Amino acid sequence: MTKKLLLIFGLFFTALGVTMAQNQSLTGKVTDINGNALPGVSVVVRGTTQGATTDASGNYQLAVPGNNARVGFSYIGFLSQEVAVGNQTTLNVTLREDTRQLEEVVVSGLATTIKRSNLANAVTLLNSKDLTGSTTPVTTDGALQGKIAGANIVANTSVPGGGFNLQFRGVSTLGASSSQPLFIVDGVYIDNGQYSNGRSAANKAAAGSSASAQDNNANRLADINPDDIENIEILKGSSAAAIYGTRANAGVVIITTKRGKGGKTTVSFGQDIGFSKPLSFYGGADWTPEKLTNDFSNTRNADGTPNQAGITALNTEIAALNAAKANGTYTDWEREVYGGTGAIRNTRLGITGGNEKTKFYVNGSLSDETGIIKNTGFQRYSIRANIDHKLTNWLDFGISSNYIVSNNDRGWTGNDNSYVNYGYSLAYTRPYVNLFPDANGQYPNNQNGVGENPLAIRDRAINNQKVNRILQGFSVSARALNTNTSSLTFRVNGGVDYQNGYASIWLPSDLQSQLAEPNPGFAQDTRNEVFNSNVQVSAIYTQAALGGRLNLTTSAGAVRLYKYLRSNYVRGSGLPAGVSNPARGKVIDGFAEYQENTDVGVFAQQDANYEDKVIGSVGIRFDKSTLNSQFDKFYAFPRASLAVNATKFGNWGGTALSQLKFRVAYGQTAGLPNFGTTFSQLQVVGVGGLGGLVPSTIVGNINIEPERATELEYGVDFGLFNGRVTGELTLYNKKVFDLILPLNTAPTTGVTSTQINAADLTNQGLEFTLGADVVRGKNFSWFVQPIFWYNRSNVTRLIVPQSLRGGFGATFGQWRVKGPDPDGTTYSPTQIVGQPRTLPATDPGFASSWTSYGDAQPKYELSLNNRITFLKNFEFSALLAYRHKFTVVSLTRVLWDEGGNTYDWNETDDLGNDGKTANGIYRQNVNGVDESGVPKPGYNPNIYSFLKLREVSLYYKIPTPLIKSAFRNVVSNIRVGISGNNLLRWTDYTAGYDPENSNFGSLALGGGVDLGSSPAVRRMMFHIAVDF
Amino acid sequence: MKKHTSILLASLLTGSFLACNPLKTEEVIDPNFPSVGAVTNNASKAQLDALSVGQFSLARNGWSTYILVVGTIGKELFNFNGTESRWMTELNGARPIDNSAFYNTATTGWGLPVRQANTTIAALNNTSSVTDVQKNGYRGIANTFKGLSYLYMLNAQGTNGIRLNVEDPFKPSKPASYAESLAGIAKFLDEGATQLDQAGAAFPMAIPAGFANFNTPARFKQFNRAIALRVAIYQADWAKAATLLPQTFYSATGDLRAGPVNTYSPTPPDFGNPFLNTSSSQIVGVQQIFDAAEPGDRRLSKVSKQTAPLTYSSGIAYSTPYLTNIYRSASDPFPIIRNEELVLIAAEIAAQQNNVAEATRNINIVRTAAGLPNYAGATTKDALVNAILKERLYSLFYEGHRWVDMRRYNKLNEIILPVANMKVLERLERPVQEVNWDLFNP
Repeated sequence: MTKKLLLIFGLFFTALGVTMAQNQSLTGKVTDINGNALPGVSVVVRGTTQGATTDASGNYQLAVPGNNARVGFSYIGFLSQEVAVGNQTTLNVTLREDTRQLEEVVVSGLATTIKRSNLANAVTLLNSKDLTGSTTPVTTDGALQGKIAGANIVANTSVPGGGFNLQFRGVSTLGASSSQPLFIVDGVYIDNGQYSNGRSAANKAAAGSSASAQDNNANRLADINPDDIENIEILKGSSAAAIYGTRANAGVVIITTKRGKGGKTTVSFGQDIGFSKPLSFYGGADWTPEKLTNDFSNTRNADGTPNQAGITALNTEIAALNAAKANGTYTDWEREVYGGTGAIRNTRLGITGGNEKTKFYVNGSLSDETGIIKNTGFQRYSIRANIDHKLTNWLDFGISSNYIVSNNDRGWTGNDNSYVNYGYSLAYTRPYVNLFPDANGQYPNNQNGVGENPLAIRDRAINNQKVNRILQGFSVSARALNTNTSSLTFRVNGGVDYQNGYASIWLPSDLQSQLAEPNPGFAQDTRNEVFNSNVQVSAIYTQAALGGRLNLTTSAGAVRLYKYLRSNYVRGSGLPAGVSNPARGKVIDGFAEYQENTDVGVFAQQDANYEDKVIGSVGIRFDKSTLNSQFDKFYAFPRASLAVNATKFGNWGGTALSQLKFRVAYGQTAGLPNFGTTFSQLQVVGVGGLGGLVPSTIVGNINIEPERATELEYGVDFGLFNGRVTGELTLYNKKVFDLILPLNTAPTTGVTSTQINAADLTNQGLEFTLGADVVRGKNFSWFVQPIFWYNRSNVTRLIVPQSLRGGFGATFGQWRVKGPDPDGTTYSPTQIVGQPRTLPATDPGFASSWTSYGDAQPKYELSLNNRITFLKNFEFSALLAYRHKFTVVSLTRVLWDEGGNTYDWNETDDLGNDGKTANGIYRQNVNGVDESGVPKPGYNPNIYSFLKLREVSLYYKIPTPLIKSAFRNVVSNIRVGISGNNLLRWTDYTAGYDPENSNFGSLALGGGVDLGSSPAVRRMMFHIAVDF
Repeated sequence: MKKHTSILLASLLTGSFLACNPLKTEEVIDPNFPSVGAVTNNASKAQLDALSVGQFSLARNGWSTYILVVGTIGKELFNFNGTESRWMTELNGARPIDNSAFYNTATTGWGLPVRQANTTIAALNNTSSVTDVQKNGYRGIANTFKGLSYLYMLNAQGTNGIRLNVEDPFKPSKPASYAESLAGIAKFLDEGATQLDQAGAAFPMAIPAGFANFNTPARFKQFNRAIALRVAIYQADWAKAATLLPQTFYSATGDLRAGPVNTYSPTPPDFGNPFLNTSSSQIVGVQQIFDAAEPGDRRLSKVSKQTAPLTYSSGIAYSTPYLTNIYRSASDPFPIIRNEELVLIAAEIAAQQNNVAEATRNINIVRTAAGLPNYAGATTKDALVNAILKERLYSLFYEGHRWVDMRRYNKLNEIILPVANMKVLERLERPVQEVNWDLFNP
């Protein structure tokens, strides 16, 4: 192999010596529709390798072989043009902006790309303008919301630093494989995990556990600076993601960062300043002596006699209430904790430039955002250097380096079992208690049943996570052969993602809640080291046949991935006063865990393009992974696709149709079992001073297979009125097989369960994107883009008994995984069911006869993107997102109702209430659905919708002449603007702050549970960007 | 020069990826825990020792739930649990028993010790790191605990029976009848005894402190035979029981407390005694039983009489002044079988074999120790059996016997119901996953 390669290299060098024949010369200038020069436009003589690039003033010069030559002009972000030269020697060209991204290339294989206009899959492509052009989200996942057809993106929390649940085209696992898509940044497989820090051990949400989904942590995509991103390609289903084989069941997100384009060195400076405020409050019900007497006292014994102790307690409460109202200390503690203003500060300084041989992009950024809750916030310091160099004209390489430090204070919201979280205690805290610290800084105790002063937690408890991270990517490509009709390129690329996380939790020992513990004080120091590396070797051979009408591309190669995770912590309780070091605790608990896996794949793909009319592709990938029980077995992932550009056949001139493409694609992917599924562990026990080993009651399955998916996707893309209106309609049917679920065994065997391949499901859905230049003028243009999509999931096979998953028990609602009925009725795995049961207790089907409360997946989602440019230099954009009828499991209202503080607690008008009982009392006693099947407003799940103004912005670009007169040539570009994030919201959600919420982090099933949450926030920012 | 650089670079790149086979992967061995597979094949002596210690540890696996469930159903003790009323309602028959509730651990908790024994025996059959004599030591211990664990499981399940062959957990045998189950348990114990006979003078491994007086094959066999004796009296096979009795550590003159114990320690990986009374869980003696005790009975010290009665009111209302007083420290041990039980078994065998003198002699050993006068009641077989059952109630209080004793004599209806709507269950339900397994694997 090595010899052959060298031979090819050798031959190539000989070929270099031959100079090309030059005939006539062609010159010209390339501009946009406003007459601005376009530098860097690629000008190529079709069917040859002769080409040139326009200079800074848009001019080019090119040798053309003869009169019948055709020259193509292409430039990123603009529609390509092909012009017959004839006998002209000057050719000026005006390029139109490619608002529909038809010309942009997206991946079609692991080593190949394709123009979107020829693509057979509905790959979503978002460029930097779509992502961060309007407003600056804190994290990249936030920048995706409402912009992708087929994606269900739910924010887990409103605390800065992110935490999102991403699902493309429904659920692809029932929890035993990765529920989140695979993220790739510049060819580096990056980690997007959520790492436990012990917070739910500190507040006993999951007492004693070593890792819990209730720690409410950010996912590590938060480390990627959204401003560095050039574009994001989203492979939603298996048909497109098949090229990533064994890890791609939940989709793939390919992020490409900005790179130097060459030319004049540009220094760019950007600054955002903004603030955030809560969107709504939830409490605020007034307290009166009558309320205390009627609903919060125990003045009578069961036999009707007066209860003296209860009467005394009531009188004390009434006196405290009256006193607080009289002396003005009656305080709404929710507004005190959640009513703050967050500060947003983003600064970036970038330098980009280079020459023919070397191009660079260097960007340093600082993001600092504090939350509406004091002592919460997110800071990220990121420095990136992307460098490309042409070693010779056949060999070039590029590196992408990124170093990130992030620091996140996540606060104390969510579930709690020890009075610690203010998300919990505020619901119960009455406005007439005094919680402000005294002159000595001592925080008064809250009432007994509440158990903790939320201000003390806010000001004194620590929940911090720091990450140091390096992303390093590289690519080398060598063109071994390059003739008029064929080329052969070898490429090696890959990289490393290394992160070191350090989380600390501290509850000082003198907190009211801690003093009630046998060992007051809790601290945990957690370290996480995550390493991902990948390398890919590929060869790409292109060949033009049939006189250049048929282009064939053959690619093949191999990939190898390696990942390890090392995490450990020291947990201490019983801390001396003021001590936060867990190693100084009275009771110390240590933990260490290791994971590692290696995946290997080989792939081959054949693409064919006949005159851009018919574009076909077939490919196959073979993958093996050490996570599978058969670590050395290759699984095959075939794919095939076909696109037909109908408008390229014959003459469509004179019709409104400018583009009509039919496409169909099929592919397979897999989801790997979680680490450890195959292991049967021996655990360590001790007795009588001796250490011993006993088997775990959970047995590894040495026959576990990966979860496999197939997807058939088809659709039509069209353009009308010369591309003024474009549309993309896609239908898909994604089938997932061999989903892993626990098989419960007979426990008297000493084995309680093992993971088996137990279920199949289907995801079927529709995605429709329409884009229209409603008005297209020099002084006013209006682009509008509605996106509509829905997904339906159904379990089609289940060989274990039906089960309820996620949540906090059937009382509040859980996700039911249920196989088809004998009559063929199928059920969604995201269906929410709960109490009460619908059959009598004597019925054999009683145990599983749960009430159905709809589906956690929305009926449909709709987003509307508007972009208006006016007076040449003003640009306004607005993104509206609507999510229709999805079920939310909420315990938040239960807390606030029990606490007597819900905003409408004192009213008597809730659905089904008798008009006499306080809503807050009424709701605690109802659940189920009413006669017409509508869920009651009790503690049961309910169905909601929302409409959010996700993003809105107005920018002004200072006209070039004005800049020139003011700054001469020092400044080339100034753009100022204001923007907002979630500025407006309409929702019928009444069971908490916001229906977008998750106490459990990102999960396939069981994610969206609202418990002890904090308000959703609106963010407003002022932006300035200057290019030098 | 430049070309050379390029060629060098290209060959370096190519070479480095061909030097090692990039497609080769190696199996990942669990980095966090040893695997069961590691001991089933060529286990080292250290691994066998660890499995053996694990066996002793697992004797406590279902123990705390078992003791409290069996004690509650037998109406000798109650668990006043502030956050779990099912101890009082469902286990006392006031509400339907639930086959998926937490208390089913009284049955399922014994599955793992059985599996541990099977794992150990399988490991021994597949290693040469110890001698055959030494192997018999490990096997004898494993089979003894296997029999004991099965016996507890069967006590909870009663006539539902147990699965006697679970060597392949995914192909377990169907539950055997009650009689077959007892016979099967006797067989495991006998097998263990034979192996202990062939295990030499000393065990090859260290024996936990709770078995300090049973740490040789000969002494351990006495423990094995004591359990076998228990099985024999459950089978009402008095002749066999009579032959077994002298093989146990029965001693008419010895300490009645003598016998192996389960030890506890709050230092991980061990754990503390789970029977300590806490603010949310108080183990109380049933008032009717302790009110009926003979005055001066020293065994009353197992409970301490509170001045204000303890009251339970969630789902069922009951008061008793008797709070158990046996376990007060996290490192207090819990007896597995004591000489006092053997003495009372000796009395029972004699009574069943109409040997009045021997029966009363043994009864009086216990009564004398309790500070009570000699037995003066009737000496018919029935009277003696009733007298023995009464002594067993006080002598073996909080040791898991009352319910089983009354059941084997068909006297469950004679158990005093402290609250009118209580019932005495005959057995626990088969746990839901047991039922489901048989439904899905007919």
